[in-house]
Amino acid sequence: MECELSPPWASPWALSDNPFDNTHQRFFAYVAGVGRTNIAWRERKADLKGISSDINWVIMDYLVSEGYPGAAEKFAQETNLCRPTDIESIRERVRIRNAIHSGKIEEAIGMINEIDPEILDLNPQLHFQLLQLQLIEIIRTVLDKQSSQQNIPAQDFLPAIQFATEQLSPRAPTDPRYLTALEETMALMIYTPEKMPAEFKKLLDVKLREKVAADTNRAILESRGERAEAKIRSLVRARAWAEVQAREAKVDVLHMPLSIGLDAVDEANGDAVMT
Amino acid sequence: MTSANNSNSSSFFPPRAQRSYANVAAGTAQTSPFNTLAAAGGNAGGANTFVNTATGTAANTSGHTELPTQRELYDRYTAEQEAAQHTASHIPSQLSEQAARQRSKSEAQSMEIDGRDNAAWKRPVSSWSADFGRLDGRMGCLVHDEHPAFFTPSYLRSSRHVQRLQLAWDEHMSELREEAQRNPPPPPKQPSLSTSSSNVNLNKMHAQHIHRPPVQDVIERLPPLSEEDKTHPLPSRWSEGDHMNGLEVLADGSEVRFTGVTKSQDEAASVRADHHMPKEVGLYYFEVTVLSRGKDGLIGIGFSGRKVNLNRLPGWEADSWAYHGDDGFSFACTASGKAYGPRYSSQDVIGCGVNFRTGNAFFTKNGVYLGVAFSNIKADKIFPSVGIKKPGEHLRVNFGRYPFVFDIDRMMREEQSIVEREIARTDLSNLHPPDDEKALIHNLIGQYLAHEGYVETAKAFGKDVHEQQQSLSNAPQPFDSQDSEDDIHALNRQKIRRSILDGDIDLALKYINTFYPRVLEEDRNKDIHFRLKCRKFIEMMRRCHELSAVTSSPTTVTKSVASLDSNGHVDNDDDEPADTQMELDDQLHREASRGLEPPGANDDVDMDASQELPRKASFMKHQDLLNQVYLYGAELRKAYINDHRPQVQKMLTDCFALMAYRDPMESVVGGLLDPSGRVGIAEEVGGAILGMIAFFPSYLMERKVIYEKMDADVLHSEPRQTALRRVRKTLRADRGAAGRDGDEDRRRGGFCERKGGLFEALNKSNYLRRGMRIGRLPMD
Repeated sequence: MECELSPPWASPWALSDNPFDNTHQRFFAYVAGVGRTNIAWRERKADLKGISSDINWVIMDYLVSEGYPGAAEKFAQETNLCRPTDIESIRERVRIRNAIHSGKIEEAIGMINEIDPEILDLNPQLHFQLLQLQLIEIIRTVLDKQSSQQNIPAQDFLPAIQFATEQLSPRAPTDPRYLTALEETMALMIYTPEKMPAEFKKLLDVKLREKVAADTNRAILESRGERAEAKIRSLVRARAWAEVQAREAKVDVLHMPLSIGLDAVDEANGDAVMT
Repeated sequence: MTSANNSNSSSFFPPRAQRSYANVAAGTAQTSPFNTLAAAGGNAGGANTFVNTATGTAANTSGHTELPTQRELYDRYTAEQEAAQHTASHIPSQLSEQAARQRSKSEAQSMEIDGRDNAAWKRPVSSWSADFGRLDGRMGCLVHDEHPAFFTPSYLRSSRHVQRLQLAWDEHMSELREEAQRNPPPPPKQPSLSTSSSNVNLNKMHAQHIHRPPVQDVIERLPPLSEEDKTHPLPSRWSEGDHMNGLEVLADGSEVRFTGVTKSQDEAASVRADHHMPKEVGLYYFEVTVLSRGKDGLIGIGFSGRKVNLNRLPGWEADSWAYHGDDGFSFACTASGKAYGPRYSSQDVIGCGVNFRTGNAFFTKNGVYLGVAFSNIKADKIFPSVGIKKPGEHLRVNFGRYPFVFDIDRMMREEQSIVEREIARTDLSNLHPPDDEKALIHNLIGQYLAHEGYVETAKAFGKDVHEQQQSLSNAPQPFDSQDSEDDIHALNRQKIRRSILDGDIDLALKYINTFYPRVLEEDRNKDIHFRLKCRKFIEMMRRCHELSAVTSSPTTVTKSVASLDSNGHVDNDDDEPADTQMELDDQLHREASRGLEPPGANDDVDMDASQELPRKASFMKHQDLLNQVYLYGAELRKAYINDHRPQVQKMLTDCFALMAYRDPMESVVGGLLDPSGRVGIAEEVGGAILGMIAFFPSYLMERKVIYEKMDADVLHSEPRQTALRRVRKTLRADRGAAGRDGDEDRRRGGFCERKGGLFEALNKSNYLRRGMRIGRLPMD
């Protein structure tokens, strides 16, 4: 059974986009309370009735938008939810993500253009980031090859310089941020890995790949007119926000730290108080 | 401009009301020719339409009802305001809305005059009022005063607090309706002579309003809702009891008028709303129209705490805040005010808003924002309040029943987007250190999947996540599935869940009694057991129905008949413990003889259960099946005949009603047959099992008996001895723990399963881990 993955808005308790609503409370209350037996919890449960399918939706939403096709498929089977419309499109995004993660940026750019050439045209910043990452990867291969102390011969960097001249330098003047980024990237060629200052070293961190991959995923989703961010992210943030608010207001009902339902609660306390 | 508006006798509605009123107008189109016209006008645009619609609706409206002079004045005045503030493009729809509103308003008045209700005309206010009207008509308006129709102020449409209030209100109404059906309504009350005469005296000018004397209110008032503190309803009217003597509350609590005499300079008369502003809405706003200022009027509009004296204007007393019309000053808990805004007088619309997020309050005059008047409002419960002190002063309040003059909706949206931005900026690193956002989300999802028994998904998710991480590192590692240990319970639960979802309740019962004996006999799970049994009955009926309907598909029939026949008796459950024990022994035996061979994909208990079933391939006649159903039904009834709880009896009645229909699918109780009903039961059973695991120690003791009866065979070989020793050791440890941890009740209240399934780090619950180790020992 295939159908559009649409939110179960039907019930008045359903998840809404209203920040004043307490969906995140109910969400975390549910997650924290699953399997609890005490009476207070059971009373709350009445309030949470029917949220299970909402949570299923939230999870499916995450699996689809963040690219977990295998899990999404199984989840659809196990929950009797509708199958996400297009598992293949998820896999497509996963392939791009994996390519970026493993440093095959050129491949990734090719795949993105195959999906929709407009994506990168409409997101020049993303395009620049990808190219910057590609330059970093070219430099990285050189750096990795010359792991010893000796200086790297300058001609090894020729492909990197050529790439920077051809691809990045024409874009750099359009935005001061590009210029800074380009300069920082080029600086990677000056230092040996051991002496590199931290601010440049972070360019070589795989975290950057992750970030660019996430941005790419978002851009592809946006280009398809889908929500760029999974609902659960906003739920988690709303939960964190609520905690910050509660702390600021010094609401004394709340035990600190607040449980978000991932840890066992101290038995002496018995009941974790949810916001 | 002004004269044009006057000649049309038009008035305005703010643009934000367009959507709602367009809907409303469309909704009433079938009942009201005016609204049809109005809706048509609202859809068209341009100045010509504006004029046509305006004259058309105005003529029609005035042809039917006589508007009170004051209202007309008010409308004209506000129309001028509107013309000054809004572009012409808004006006057509505003007019249509106005037409709708005028209709509903005047209708409401006439309704009040002849004391009859009219559902059709109440509908324009909002969709729920149709309900209300029906209810009212049936109940003879018994509780009208204390149950004014529920309304949602436009800016609070997305407020969950208000949604909750509405739900509670709906429930209350349906209760009342049931009540009314049981007890036919008493004849309508005749107002006593004294009260009606007083009405005449007091309301010469406003004969259209029936003033409800307080005495009558006391009789009609329902006992105060005990959960009132919890629900925090919206202010809906001026309080009948909470006002000074010289002040009169009119028009169902929406208007106040000064009728007394002031003795001293300071003395005034104030009134508070029936409820305080609920903090939950974030932003509260109401508007007061000065219908008449009187001579040298002195009016204060604002809010005050519950205990503030009402013989002075709000703002002058501690715990009260107000904006006064004579000088335009704002007063915050003191008699000396600060210059704040313009003065206001007759026909001005003054809005008052409190922002609970920032602790600020502001006022508006005729739709114009006047800026923050007070900040740091710390009072806990503040009531909308107005005070007047000169004869002839007359105010009307709008708590949101009608559209507001000020664009409060936009302010609400802005407020929401501020919060949204704040939320978007929130740093997640402190929420659950050391997890970052991604790890946190993965933990949550993993825990949920494992908990709910979505084993396959959990595995696939783990694999996907692993792949994702591997793509980042240079040295890929094969995916290490950590199933086995933690998944056993999840797998079991999934089997149970699956069989319930498939409608095979017998199999589910079998699984439950095998994996988790006596779960269903627990007191608190009795209801679930009952529902399972009912479901079984329903499933039997379903098969029956299928059998009679689809005779051309013998395969399904045979299957269903076979499984039906296998376990058709209620008392079968009582035999289960013995079976279970045997099975467990059997299982352990087999496991032991198999040595350390890893557990296969297909579960032994599963196999046993299905092999024990007598496979009847023979085709059972429909009639026989019906007999079976009947027998089972009779047993079901017998088992629960002494359970007088209404929900139990109702469920039984509904179930048995299925038998009465020739085509149960099409009957009123046909919904029971829908497979979607299985989901809820499946969830509840899962919850019950988790609850059982939660107080594992006592549960464990029962299982211990089973282990101790183990066949001597098991003790012979070395690995078996080790296994048994392990069982005993763990049991002892558990007993010790139980002794240490104190009484069972505390454990019940305590926390239970916290399992991460894939995420081992989450496995912190000792009880659970102990329990699982023992629970899965035979499978080692």
